[in-house]
Amino acid sequence: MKGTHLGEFEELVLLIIGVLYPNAYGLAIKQEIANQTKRSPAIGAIHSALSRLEEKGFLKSHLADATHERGGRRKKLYEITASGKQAIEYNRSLRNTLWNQIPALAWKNL
Amino acid sequence: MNRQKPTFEPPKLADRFLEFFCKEEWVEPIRGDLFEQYQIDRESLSRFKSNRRYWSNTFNFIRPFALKRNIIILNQIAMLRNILKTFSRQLVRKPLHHFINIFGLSFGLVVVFLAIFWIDYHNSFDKTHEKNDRIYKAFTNSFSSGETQTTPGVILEVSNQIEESIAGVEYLTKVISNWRWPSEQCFKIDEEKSCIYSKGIYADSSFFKIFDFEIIEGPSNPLKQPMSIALSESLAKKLYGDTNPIGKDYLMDNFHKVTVSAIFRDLPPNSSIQFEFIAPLDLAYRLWGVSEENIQQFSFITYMLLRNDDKSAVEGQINSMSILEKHDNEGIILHPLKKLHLYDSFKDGEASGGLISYVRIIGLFAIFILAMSMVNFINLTTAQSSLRGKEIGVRKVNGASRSSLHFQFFAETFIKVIIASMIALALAYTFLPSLNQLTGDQIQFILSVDFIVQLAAIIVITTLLSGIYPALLLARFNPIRVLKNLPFNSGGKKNVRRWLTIAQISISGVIVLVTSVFYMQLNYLQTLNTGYDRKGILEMEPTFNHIRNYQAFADRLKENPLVDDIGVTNSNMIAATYASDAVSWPGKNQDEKIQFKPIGANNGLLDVFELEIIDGLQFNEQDSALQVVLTESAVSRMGLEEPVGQRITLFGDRYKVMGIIKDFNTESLHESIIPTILYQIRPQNAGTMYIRYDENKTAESLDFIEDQYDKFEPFFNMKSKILDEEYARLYEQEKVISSLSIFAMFIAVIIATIGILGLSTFNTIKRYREIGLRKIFGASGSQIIQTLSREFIWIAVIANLISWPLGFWIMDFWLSGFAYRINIPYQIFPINLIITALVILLLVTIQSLKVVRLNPTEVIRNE
Repeated sequence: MKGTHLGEFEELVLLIIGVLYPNAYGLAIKQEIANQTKRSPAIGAIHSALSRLEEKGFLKSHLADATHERGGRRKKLYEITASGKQAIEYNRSLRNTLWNQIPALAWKNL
Repeated sequence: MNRQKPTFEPPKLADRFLEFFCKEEWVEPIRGDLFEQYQIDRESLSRFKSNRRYWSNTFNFIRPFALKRNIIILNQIAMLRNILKTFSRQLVRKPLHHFINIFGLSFGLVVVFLAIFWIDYHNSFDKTHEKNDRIYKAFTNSFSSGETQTTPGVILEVSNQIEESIAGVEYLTKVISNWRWPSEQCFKIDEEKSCIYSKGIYADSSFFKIFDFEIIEGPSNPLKQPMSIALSESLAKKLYGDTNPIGKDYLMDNFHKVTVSAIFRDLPPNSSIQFEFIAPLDLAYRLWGVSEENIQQFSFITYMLLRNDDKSAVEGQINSMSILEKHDNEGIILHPLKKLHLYDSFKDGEASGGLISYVRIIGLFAIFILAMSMVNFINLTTAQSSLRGKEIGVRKVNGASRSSLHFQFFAETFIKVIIASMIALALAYTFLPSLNQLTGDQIQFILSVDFIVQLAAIIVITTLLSGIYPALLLARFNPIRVLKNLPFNSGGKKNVRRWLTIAQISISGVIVLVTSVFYMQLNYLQTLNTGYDRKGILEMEPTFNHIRNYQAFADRLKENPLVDDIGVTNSNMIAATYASDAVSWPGKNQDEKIQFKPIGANNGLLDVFELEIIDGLQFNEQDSALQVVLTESAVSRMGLEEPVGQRITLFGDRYKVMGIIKDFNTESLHESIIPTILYQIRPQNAGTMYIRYDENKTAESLDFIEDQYDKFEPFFNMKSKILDEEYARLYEQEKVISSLSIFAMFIAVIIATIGILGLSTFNTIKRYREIGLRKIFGASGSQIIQTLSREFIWIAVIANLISWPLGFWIMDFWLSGFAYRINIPYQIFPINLIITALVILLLVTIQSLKVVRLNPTEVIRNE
């Protein structure tokens, strides 16, 4: 179960990584999340999620070249793996099915 | 186009910290991210805020995924938690026991902390100057009559020569201080207002090159401006309020116009040099109406800054200067500034001690008291150790090693010591103001680095010393015996605890003995006959107007029955330090140098001090010839047969001996009486007036005298002191020490009482069954009390045998600093024994009474 389950925050991170392709790394992800959702997660929380997702096999990473604005340190760039894609697709389709099952009447009185 | 933007350096320490805890593979990407974020932050935020964010972001990475594996030592952490948990359960289960245990320790610790504050304060004197390692104060040794007298200061012609010719002396400064006048000035800004008296010094311009007294406003060396004066911040405020005093003119002594040139920061209380104003030396010459040529033989307080810290070389050079040949019986020594406060008394021409001996005694007392409270701690802990038997048994069965048990008990002791220290710190904070009031010091509660280091050392030492025995003992319990409910050695060796109590009682005995001798000696000094009745004498500083119209002033005063007599002198009758060997008499062996104390006086002075003429007459005021009155000891030192009517030579002038008086003290009784010569002076040359008034109507008399003072001197306000109070001030240090040691004595006695109570409680509890059996076999109550207290009588005797020699040694050491000392009263030793024995018996009896009333069946049935 643990292997495939995708938490809400993890899903968000995974999606953002897709958005940022091919330049998804810790700080960029944090900034993008801040831009898109007005949430500002701690940088440590992002990395923690990234490490979890990589452990689950949803992400793969490689180190990019060093750049000046990082004080000569290399970025760890992330990409979604096939199983990562599966996981978000599963979430999405689950959500869609559930949406479709809601009877139109349910919205009527809102 | 690719010109790189400058980057900001994030805090290195945070990076190091990250490397410390973070897995290696994560360090690089994390640091990169942090760095980037930091660059962004610095664009919009201050450096401080960015650094703070950098740190908090770094801390944010202390998450499981990033931590190095070996950082997580789960096992040890679990162990520590377990220790804490057991400890807190103990606290909850037996709160009173632990409260007594911890509080007893903090009792001892608070004494140590206060002692440290006091000692550190006295150690901190004169250490604020940057060059303080190279600053020396010069003293002159004069050798005569086989003794060496050391006085501060160097005569002008010698110090000038030193300044010119000794290369090792970088700067030399001459200072006038502690003169009644002109060091003490009446500042009167406004005709209407009364005087503000304040003490200051006069120094030449090298002064500020040697010392780092901070100038707040004005030139960095205000002594370079002639006819100027620099004021302390608070004096300036007192005189001028909020207006800027710089450039203001002021009439010194109502005559010399001086300009305020600078304001300096108030001197810290831990400076030996104290002044509220400072002015150039030339101004003092001007006030005195002399030029430098006139006063070549005058002695100034002298400080020197050496080029390097080679004191003995410079001393050697100074003492081989040709100018000193004129003063063949004198030598100059340099005394380091940083030792000035603690070592201020001299013996045989060398610094021999002073306050340092008190510092040592107080330090010793503090250590004693801490040791006593540690004994209580150990005894209480081991006495209760049987209650921990089960816990230790279970731990051992589950595989706890001895060393892990040791660790556990040390950790518990450590926690207790920490708690006790915190309580003690709070108590010290509370009591520091009272200590200051008692000692007259201005010690502040500052947790300086030095203090923290000392605190840590004390915590560690206390933990080790008071934790070691319980730890060893408790870890030794045999688990099988404990768990099978068989008797086990729970209280530890009886002997150890007994000896600890003996140590405790002997220590408190030492403190009690020494304190009682302190007290007796002080009492002795204050009631000692100084040769005259000190009560009802007023010391007054006359101004020019009083001495010019002396006769009229004296007559006006004496018209009133409140005033008995009035006299003048050029010296200070309770602190006359000046002695000279420039005296000769018929039949004197010219090679012999004997010191005498010459004091200028008139007949009025003899009357005020009730110096009775036992042979001859008082001064003949009608006769203009030079006249002296000798004390008995002066006569016997000279070996004169028929002294009255003979002529002696003093300062090169011939004086006629008019009469003989009994000896009297002219100094603190630390010093022995130096033979005194009173020579007649005219009131015009007087510096001080002494007035004997009706001591039963002090307030009235003082009012009257002040009234008359003002009639003759409209400008100044009267400055006067009551002689008896001044005399008490000579022994202020002794008084402080005696109150401190009385305080220490109380604490020591309380701790010892707790100790005896603890031991006797424990002993009686252990002997319940024995007592029950004794009762069954018909022992009476008094027999049981005897049985229980026999041991304690021995404890009292042995403890006393230990404390007697130790106490004797400390007392003798202290008393040797006094010229007038009591003999150690031997009866205090047996008295101490009797009192200890009685107190112990009383405590033990109270304990035993509980047992005696016990029903023996209840104890025995427990089997």
